[in-house]
Amino acid sequence: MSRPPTYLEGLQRALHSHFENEPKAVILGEDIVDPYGGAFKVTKGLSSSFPDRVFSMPICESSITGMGIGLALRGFKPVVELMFGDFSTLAADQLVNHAAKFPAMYGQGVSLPLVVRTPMGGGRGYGPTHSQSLEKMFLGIPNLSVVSPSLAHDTEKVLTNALNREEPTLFIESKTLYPLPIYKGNKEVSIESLAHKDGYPIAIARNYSPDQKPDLLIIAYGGASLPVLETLEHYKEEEIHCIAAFPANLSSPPLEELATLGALARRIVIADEGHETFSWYSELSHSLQQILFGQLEAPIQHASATCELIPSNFEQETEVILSKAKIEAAATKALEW
Amino acid sequence: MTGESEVFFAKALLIRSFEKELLRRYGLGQFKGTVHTCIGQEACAVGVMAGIDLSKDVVFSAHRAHGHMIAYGCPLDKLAAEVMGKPSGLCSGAGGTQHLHWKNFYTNGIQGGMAPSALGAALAEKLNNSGAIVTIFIGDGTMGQGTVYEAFNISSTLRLPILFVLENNHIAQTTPTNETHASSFCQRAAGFGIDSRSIDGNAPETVAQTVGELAKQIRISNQPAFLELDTTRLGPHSKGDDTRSRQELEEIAKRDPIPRLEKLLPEDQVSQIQESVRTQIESAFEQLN
Amino acid sequence: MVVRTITNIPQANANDQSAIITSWQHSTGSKVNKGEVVCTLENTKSVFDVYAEEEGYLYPLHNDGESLPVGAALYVISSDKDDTEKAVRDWVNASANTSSSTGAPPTKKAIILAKRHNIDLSLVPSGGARVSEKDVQAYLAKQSSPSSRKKAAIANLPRGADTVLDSYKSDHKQNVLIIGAGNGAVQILDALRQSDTQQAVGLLDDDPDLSDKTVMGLPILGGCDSQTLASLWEKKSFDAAIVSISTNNAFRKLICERLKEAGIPLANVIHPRAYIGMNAKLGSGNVILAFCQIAACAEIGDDNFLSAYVSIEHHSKLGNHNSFGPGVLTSSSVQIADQCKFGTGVFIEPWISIGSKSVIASGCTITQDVSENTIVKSTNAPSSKPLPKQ
Ligand SMILES: Cc1ncc(C[n+]2csc(CCOP(=O)(O)OP(=O)(O)O)c2C)c(N)n1
Repeated sequence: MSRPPTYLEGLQRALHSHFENEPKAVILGEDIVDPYGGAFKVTKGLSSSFPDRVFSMPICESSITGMGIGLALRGFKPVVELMFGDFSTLAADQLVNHAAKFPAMYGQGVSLPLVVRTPMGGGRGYGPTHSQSLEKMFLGIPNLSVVSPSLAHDTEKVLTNALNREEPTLFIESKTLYPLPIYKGNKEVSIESLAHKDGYPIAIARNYSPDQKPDLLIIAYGGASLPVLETLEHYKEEEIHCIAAFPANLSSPPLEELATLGALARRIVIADEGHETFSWYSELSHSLQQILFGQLEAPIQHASATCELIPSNFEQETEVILSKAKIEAAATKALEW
Repeated sequence: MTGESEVFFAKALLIRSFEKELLRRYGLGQFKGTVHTCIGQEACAVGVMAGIDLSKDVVFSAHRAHGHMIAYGCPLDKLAAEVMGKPSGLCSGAGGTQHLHWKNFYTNGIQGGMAPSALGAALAEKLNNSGAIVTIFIGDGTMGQGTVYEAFNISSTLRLPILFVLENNHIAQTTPTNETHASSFCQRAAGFGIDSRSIDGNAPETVAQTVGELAKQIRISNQPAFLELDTTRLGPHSKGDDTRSRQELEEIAKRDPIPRLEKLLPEDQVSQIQESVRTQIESAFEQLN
Repeated sequence: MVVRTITNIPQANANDQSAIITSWQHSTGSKVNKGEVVCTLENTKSVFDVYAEEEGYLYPLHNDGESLPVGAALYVISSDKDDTEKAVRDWVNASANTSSSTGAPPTKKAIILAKRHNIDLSLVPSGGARVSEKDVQAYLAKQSSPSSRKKAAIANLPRGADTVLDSYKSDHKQNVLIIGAGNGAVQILDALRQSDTQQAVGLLDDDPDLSDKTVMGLPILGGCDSQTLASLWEKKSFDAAIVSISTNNAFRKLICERLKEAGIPLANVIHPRAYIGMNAKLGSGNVILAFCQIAACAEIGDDNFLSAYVSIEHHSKLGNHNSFGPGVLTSSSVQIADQCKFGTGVFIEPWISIGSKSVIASGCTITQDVSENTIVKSTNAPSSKPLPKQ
């Protein structure tokens, strides 16, 4: 059997098939044409195969995003790449006041099939303005989907679903996950995929056999899946039965499924890479406690980046960003409650 | 010559009467929010729409777009209902005065925000080889936004079929443009290698002719163009928010395009047009009484 | 004998899972003193020294620069000058296989379970390389299952002890000591004569005139003082006591407290012709004579004296140290506090409450609440009124 594709390769494949199957597919971004093929190589090879539909743009995130919007309004299936997720702030007006508005505000018949892809997250020493996880700024915007595949997802499928859903979507990729093979499980941890009606599967990881009961549910997405999976592997030898759920749809997480798992485990940790407070985890723990009030053994715990600048220095960065140690500290709190 | 002037007069008067009726109804408290009228600038709308191909060209505008919409041919009753926030409106009442869409026409309430969308639409038309062009209306105040210059740069670099129409009414909300802008707008666009012109925006014949020329040129060359229309905002920014002196208002009122057009036509024709406009307005607003 | 001790990699801060050995301060086999620095370690936050906990000869188990998980064996200190590295390593390997304390820590699940159940993990025997959940569960099962608790209780009994109740055999009658040798004692003795499970063994009374007498053939064994009680109790002369004095409730209480202090149980003496209803609750030290009724769901405290024909109706509550003459009838849900004294033939209406230390004269009908320390001499109903005109 050949090795599983990497997180990056899955994304590349999705883009290639999108361009092959969809004559209206175009992509705009900075430095995305070959031979460079994008800062993180997601568009590698695309401009060689489809030279007329890959546009290397000047440095102007708002216009690149807005052009995607105009193209989508006029019947194209555009993809926009923002080189670093940190630059999404420059595209915020286009995402919030344009992309998310047009389909609902112009009445029926206007669709906006736009996917804006961008990598988020730290861990690579890029420093304060190239390491953040700012997706939470775009959560809670009506009609804007925010999606992110974890390492346990088939990234090709998740991106393809985003491309097929024909709605404005901010697609968050993970810098740290790009080079890693998609996690298919091993002797410690098994992986399943739970289908969901929006087409975004929930990846489920567990480190115990199905006839046993979980001690703990960890919920995370995107790049946070890596330290969570490491935690599961470590917890296998520590006899902590742990189930992890990685939803891909962040803006409307599959609450019912998560609550069912939460009721089973009765202890929950939510991990995300954003700065702590006013976060995905805080919103999700609020929603879950609405459903699970009285059914849990411990208050829902969280692990995230501390609310500080993310330094370039590796050791200092490690202290600030989400880590396996932080996840395990939160897990210990939940388990010892 | 009467043929063209007659049409311009009729359209300009229709826009004027439509917006006056809106203001009247706003004053009566019949709808909430805001309303931006283009009183004094009707010739720009009428002239530009006469110069482009309404069957296929794409138009973007912003907050002050009723005139553009009417000149584009949008049904008056649906527009009136939309501005007044009714479910029967163009956008089911979700849009109101500044978020409008009909056929290939789109507006939004973010100054400069539509420039990138217009670029995208222009790229779409180019990729489609449709021969259509995109026209985007912006105001002089909006020339402060970075997106506009990003659009100049990108349209010029990517050779996009787009016409930037700057309606320079010399004021943005309450701020005189000469207090916030130091250099010629035309030169700015020209600096990006864009064919740029500046003309009297209150003369619809000139506007229509120039736009016609530029549109043709854009279709052939796939190069953007920039047209500054010198015009006059005779009314408030929205409602009761005009801070200009009466003297100044009287001065610019001399440039009002409608009396000028009226003078070009025989009296009986004028009253005929006036009568027709009255009935059109009445029937447009009938459903809203 | 050679004494060897292992030192493990300490947890220097909560987030660290490993440490790197920066340097050893002594060579293999060299002497170290207690409190001396043995080696220096480094983790992500800091560099820190490890100090010898014993005096002895040092055997490092790893080289400089090695990174080791927290809890891993770091070095051994041996008491024997002639110990060898090989002997030490063999010993370390051997002990790693038999005991969890030498190397790997218990699993996280084991630690959490131990915390949850408040048990000391060092007491939990390991079934494998590490103390596991299973080990803790097994330990817990041993500790706390009902059957194991009972087993432990039996195992802890002294040799020859009775497993049911150390003082009673199956044919043993409870030996009752009666306190007070007056007429109350006579009534109690009469009731005990009817009993299959209790018998009187003697009496106590402070009256010196009674000391050389008997009551219905039973001896008076001494006064009611603590010393006498204690010495009789020590000699196992009786199993439980009952107070027979019905005229002085304060004295009943005093004796009762004295008995409790000495750890002497109080007996209930219940005439076989008395009726005890369903769900009735009874304390101890109560005398309940013939034809009494303690109705369903009534509650009786401790140390009450109920003469014949007293009925405590259902859902009524009686406190402690009360005494009743014959024929006191309560209706339902009556509350009587402590140390009250009732004459003969008293009727008490339902839901009436009678406060402590009250005295109710014979023949009263109680229709209103009685507050504490009250003497009720005659029926306490409001005076009669003509019926309203029809
Ligand atoms: C991004 C943004 N900033 C501010 C406003 C508020 N605003 C609406 S219209 C306007 C003035 C616009 O002036 P100009 O571009 O000259 O157009 P005009 O109103 O003269 O037609 C302002 C400040 C807005 N709608 N969008």
